[in-house]
Order: sequence, then C-alpha cells, then structure tokens
Amino acid sequence: MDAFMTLADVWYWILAFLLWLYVFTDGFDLGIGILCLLEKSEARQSVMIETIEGVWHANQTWLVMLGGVLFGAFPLVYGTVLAALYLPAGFLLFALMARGIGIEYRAEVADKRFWTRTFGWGSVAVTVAHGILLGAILQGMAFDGLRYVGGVFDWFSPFTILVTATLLCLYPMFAAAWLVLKTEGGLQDAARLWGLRFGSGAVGCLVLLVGYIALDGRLGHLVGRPGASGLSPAFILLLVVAVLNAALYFRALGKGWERRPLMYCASMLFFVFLAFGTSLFPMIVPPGVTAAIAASPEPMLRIMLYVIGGFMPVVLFYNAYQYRVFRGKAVPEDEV
Amino acid sequence: MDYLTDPLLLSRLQFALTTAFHITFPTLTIGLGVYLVFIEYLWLKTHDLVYFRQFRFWSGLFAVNFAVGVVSGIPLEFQFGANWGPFSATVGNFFGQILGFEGTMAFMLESAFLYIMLFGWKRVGPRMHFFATIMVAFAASLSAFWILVANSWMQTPSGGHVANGIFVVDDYLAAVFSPDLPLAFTHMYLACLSVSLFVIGAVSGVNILLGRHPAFFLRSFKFAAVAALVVTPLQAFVGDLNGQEIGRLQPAKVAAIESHWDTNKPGEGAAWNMLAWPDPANERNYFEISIPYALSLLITHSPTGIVPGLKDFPRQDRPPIVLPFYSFRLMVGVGGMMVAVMAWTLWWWRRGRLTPGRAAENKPLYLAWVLMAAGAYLAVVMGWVTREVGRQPWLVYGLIRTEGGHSANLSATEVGLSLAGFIAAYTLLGAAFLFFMGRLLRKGPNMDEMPPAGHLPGRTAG
Repeated sequence: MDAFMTLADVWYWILAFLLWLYVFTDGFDLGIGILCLLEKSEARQSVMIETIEGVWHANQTWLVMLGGVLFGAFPLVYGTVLAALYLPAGFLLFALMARGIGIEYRAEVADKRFWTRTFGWGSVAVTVAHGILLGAILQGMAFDGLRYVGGVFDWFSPFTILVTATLLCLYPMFAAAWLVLKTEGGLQDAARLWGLRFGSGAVGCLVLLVGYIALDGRLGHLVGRPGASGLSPAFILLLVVAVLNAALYFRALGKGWERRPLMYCASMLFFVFLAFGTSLFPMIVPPGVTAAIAASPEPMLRIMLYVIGGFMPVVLFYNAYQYRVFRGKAVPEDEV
Repeated sequence: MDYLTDPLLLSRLQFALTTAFHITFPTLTIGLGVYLVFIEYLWLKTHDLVYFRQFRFWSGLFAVNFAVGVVSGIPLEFQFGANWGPFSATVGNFFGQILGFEGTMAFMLESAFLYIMLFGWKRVGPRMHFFATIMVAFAASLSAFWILVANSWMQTPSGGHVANGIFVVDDYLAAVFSPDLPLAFTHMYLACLSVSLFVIGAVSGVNILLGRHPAFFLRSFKFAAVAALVVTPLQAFVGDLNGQEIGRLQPAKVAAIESHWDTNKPGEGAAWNMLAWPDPANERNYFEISIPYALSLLITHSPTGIVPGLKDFPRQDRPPIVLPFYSFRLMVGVGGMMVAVMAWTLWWWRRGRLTPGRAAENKPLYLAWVLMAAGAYLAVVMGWVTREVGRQPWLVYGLIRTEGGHSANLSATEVGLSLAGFIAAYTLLGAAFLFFMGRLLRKGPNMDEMPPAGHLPGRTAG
C-alpha cells in the first residue's frame, strides 16, 4: 500500500470521505431547519423535524469525528487553520448550539414557535459558517511556514459568498429529497416543489461557482489548473457527471420516485467532492500545505488507521441500523 | 484591568469556563446511564411496571442533560485547534488521535443508540432495547475513559519526547496508560456515580417530601442510598490514593494545594495547613492554621515522610496557590459531608424511618441530600480546578508551557469576543436547561404509561 499511496494520502481520502458523509447527512438535517422557516404549518414542521429526530444527532457526530481525525492525522492543519479562522469557526460553534438546542427543546414545549425559529435560523447560521469555512480554506490561506500571515477577515470574499450561497441551496435540496422519502401526502408534494426550486438553485450556484473559478486565475488549484484560469478536462468530466446526477434527481422527483432523489443527492455530492478533491490532492490547505507536510509521523498514522479503520465498518453498520429502526414514513405524535 | 487585554489569559478563562460548564452534564449522564441499565434489567427480570416508569422518567432527565452536554461539548474539541494551535500542532499526532478515538468509538455509539433508547420502544424488541441502553451507558463511560487518557497524559506525559516541535511517541501504550490515568479515571468515574446518585436521591427525596408518588420515589431513593453507601467511602479512599500518587508525580502541585513552602527536614514531619493565605512574593503564608505531621501522613502515609515544599521549585515553575488551595478544600469538605450524610441515611433507614408514611419526619435528611447533590457538582468542578490550575504553568506537564501552546495570531479582541459569546450562550443554555429540568421534575413520572406491545410478558417482540 505504501508504494501506491502514502499513509498521509490514505488519511487525506478518509478525511474527504468523512467530510462527504457529514455534508450529506447533516446537510439534510440543516436543510430541514431551513425549510422549516419556509413552512408555515406547525403540524408540518413537527413532522419534518420528526423525520430527523432519531438520526440528526449521529449525523452531527460525523463532524466531531472529522475534527478528531483532522486533529490526529493532520495536527498542523488543525492547529493553524482553526486559529486563523477564529471568528467563523467560533460562529459555527454558536450556530451548532442554536440548532441543536432548538431541535431538542422544541420537542418539550407546547408553544413551539420560538424553538422552531431557533432551530431554523440556527441551521441557516450553521450553513453560512460551513460556506465561509469551506470557502476560506479552498480559496487558499496565507501561511508563512506555520504562522498565519493573512488578515482576520480574509474569509470574506466573493468566492466564500458563492460557496455559502451554493450550500444554502444544496442543503434544502437534500432535505427535500429526504422528506420525499420520509413523508406522504401534501407535505411530500411540497417537498417535491422545494426539491425543484432548491435543486435548480444549487445547480445554478454550482455552475456560477465553477465559472467564477475558471475566470479568476488565482483559484486554478481547485480545478486542476494551478495558477491559471480555465478548467482541467478531468474536472470538467467529473463536474458533468455531477450535473447529470442532478438531472436524474429532477427526473426522479418528476416520476414520483421516493428513494432515488436522495440517492442522487448523495452521488451528486460525491462527484462534486471527487472533482474538487482530485484537483486539490495532495494539497490539504492551498496553496502551500500538502497532506505530507501536515501529517503526523507514519507510525501514528498507522496505529490510527488500524484503530479507526477497524471501527469504521462497525460505526457505519450501527448507523445504518439506526436508519433502519427509524425507517418508514414519519407519522405525527409518535412518542415512544 | 490589564488581564483583559491578554489573549492568553482570556483563552485560558474561556477554556476553563466552557469546560466547567460542560463537565456537569456528562457527569450526570455517565452515572444515570448506569442506573438506567440497572433499572431496565430489573424491568426485564420482574416486569414490574414501576421499573418501566422509572426508566421512562429518568431517561427523560438523561435526554435533557445529554442535549446540553453535547452542544456545550463540541466547542471544547475545537478550542484546542483555535486557541491552542501550537499545542495542537505539537502533540496532535497523539492527543488528537485520542480525541479521534473518543469520537469514533464512544461518542458516535452513544449518539446512535440514544434515540433507540429514547424513542425506539415501539420499534425494537425488549432485547434490542436493552442492548441500546447498555450501549449508551457503555459509550458514555468509554468517552470518559478516552478523555481522561488525553487529560492524564497532559498531567504525566509519558511514552515519548518532543523533537523539532513535534511530540514523538516512543512507547504507545505507555503514552495511553500514563501514570496518572488509573487513579484519575477511577476518581472521576466515581465522581460521576456520586453526582448521579445524589441527584437521583435528591429528586426522589423532594418528591417524597411533597407527597408525590412516594412509593415510586422511595424505590429510587433507596437504590441511590445503597449505591452511594458503597461509592462515597470508596471515593474517599481513592481520593486519598490519588493524593499520594500526585505527591509522587507532581510534587509542585501538592505543594501548591497545601501552600507548603519548606521541605520538611529528615526525621521531622511536614505540617498540614488546614487554612492559610499564601504570600507568594515573600514565599510564606500570611497566616496558617496547621496540624503537625499531618501533611507527611496524608501524602506519604508516614509521619516523617518528606514532602517537597514550593521553595524547591524555581519560581517560574510554581503553580498558582490560592485557587488550588481552596478548591481542593471545598472538594474534600463536600466529600466528607457526603460520607456523613450516608452514615445518617443508613442510621435512619435501619431505624425503619424510610417509609412513605414518615416522609415529613425525614425532611432534614432529604434536604441534606438536595444539598449534597449541589455539593457533588461543586466538588467535581473544584476537583478539576485543583487538577488543572495545579498543573500550571505547564500545558503538558514539564513539556509545553501554557504560554508556548497558545495561538500567537489571536488578538484580545477576538478571544474577548468569543469569550463574551460563550458566556452569553452558556447562560442562555443553562437557563433553558434549568427551565426544562424544572418542568420535567414538576411533571413527574407518568404513572399510567404502559409499555408498547411486545415489551409486555406473554407476547413476542415486534
């Protein structure tokens, strides 16, 4: 394995996989929060939240795992990037608190308006924080060795705004697909409509984003053309596959299929990740920090691979089991 | 107000406040998880409905605590990277890995099975439900283990050395099982059990006093009393062992905790300062009330054992004194009162006073339990203050100084902003928590609730 791929590379892709899992699963949880702000009926809000009640927590935990893995496998990234992005990272934490406490305590009260709003706006805030953090890292960070030499507000740029806008459409697009699977009747119809709207928005934003990158030569590292404008053929190919999956998503919505829209969300996100991931690789924080530079010593990476790699199937298995236990359509007032 | 412009101090304050707030929630869920396993076992064994309702009531408390524990806990993990960047970069390959293990093995397990435990009664059979409860309790305890692995290693970093700004692990198992770990974990685990037992006892006691479901709550009260009867003296014993161990591993910490300046001469015993106010500038105490030979006895179990004084350590390597001195005494004081309340409970129980009819006569006892529940939380926080402030000026004892581990790019404004945010957010969080706990407690157990079909005897699982 070492000849084909270094351990640092392996961890790079494990990290990408965890990020994909997190963005997809917590993505639809956050999307539910955003859609709750659009849905006026409290009864429907309750059903929407009930669909994720049993699983959102484990979904969020992928972020905690992601943090731990990043900390252990690439301590130099963990110890520099979070400090450099102190304000948006802090904002993410507060937003996660609002979202989490909103959903937990909403279940406990009779007048749900306040906690629904906390959950909804908390979800919007988490999404914005995701967009800023992701955008700020992807656009490149000014490091002199390990010392951050950029500004406190470097994360505020047209690029990060575009990434944020994309996520603000993408998460409700996932949530709509999730609701199609988990609900029925009028709510399901509404979800299909949301799916069409936010799906179009997400594809539109994605195309805009790629267009922006292609025109702005400084972001070429994201699309396989470091330091230049335009797009690499491999990136174009993967992006086309991603957009094709989005098309299949719309088709599945139109056909009234219940399972496939969500599957196409996952595969679309997968190809988007693959497109950007293969372009960036082995860069972990552009422009200068590669996986090899930032990685822990080999023996530690190996131990971590055996332990976490060994546990991953178990973790995935019981996560799947959890989804199975809470399978089927959500019905109002399902308490015990 | 110079200290408000020091980002390092603000970061320390932020970590201390967020950790102190956070720790109170898992402390309860760890112990309550064990209680729930026990109760569900009794339910499965006897099919006495009171156990099912016990489970439902206490798992409600568990859920509210878990929620706040999680939202207040996630910021801790990320503060390591954000505020303590050089520390993270240096030790992350080991320390971060341990936190990664905690997330992968423990936290994920708890998150996934918690909702089956809470909302899965209709969806899974009795065995699977019991398995979920066991997983939740096991995962909570496993979480505590990994966190203590990480923290104990900061106290007694073993198994490696720092080279070129990176901690290099030479002996992996020695790093995981650092010398401080066995007793520190045991001490904390028993603290979690104590807190939970006193909370169970206090909630039950108040309900008995108010005449609400006295039979139901006498059952949980008696359970808590029996368990606490074992746990509190055991904790005192482990605490004493821990004190000796710290004396061996971190002598400067013990000297600070006891405000002990001069090493006792061979053949003489070190006196124990029961109360004192230190004067670090002149290396003495303004006043002290001390018991001869007692410190030697406490730390070395010999009346003339040598206990190094603070003067043996260079000034720049001495921890602060006032805070650990008093936090330690608060913790030990509460521990002593707990043992006393246990003796009292046992005495009245043996005299047959713990019956529903005699609730009013037992008022002082039940109120003592309420006080001890609050005291148990205080003792946990004070114990951690002693442990962490006593570790200063080191972030990783003897390896990384606290100021060397702090993110250099942070300004006081940035950290001040986040600190203010945390204070505001945690105040709101705490208020919401108290509000919901209060509601849950006022509502009490649902004595009409029946388990779903499949969980009753005579029928097969659905």
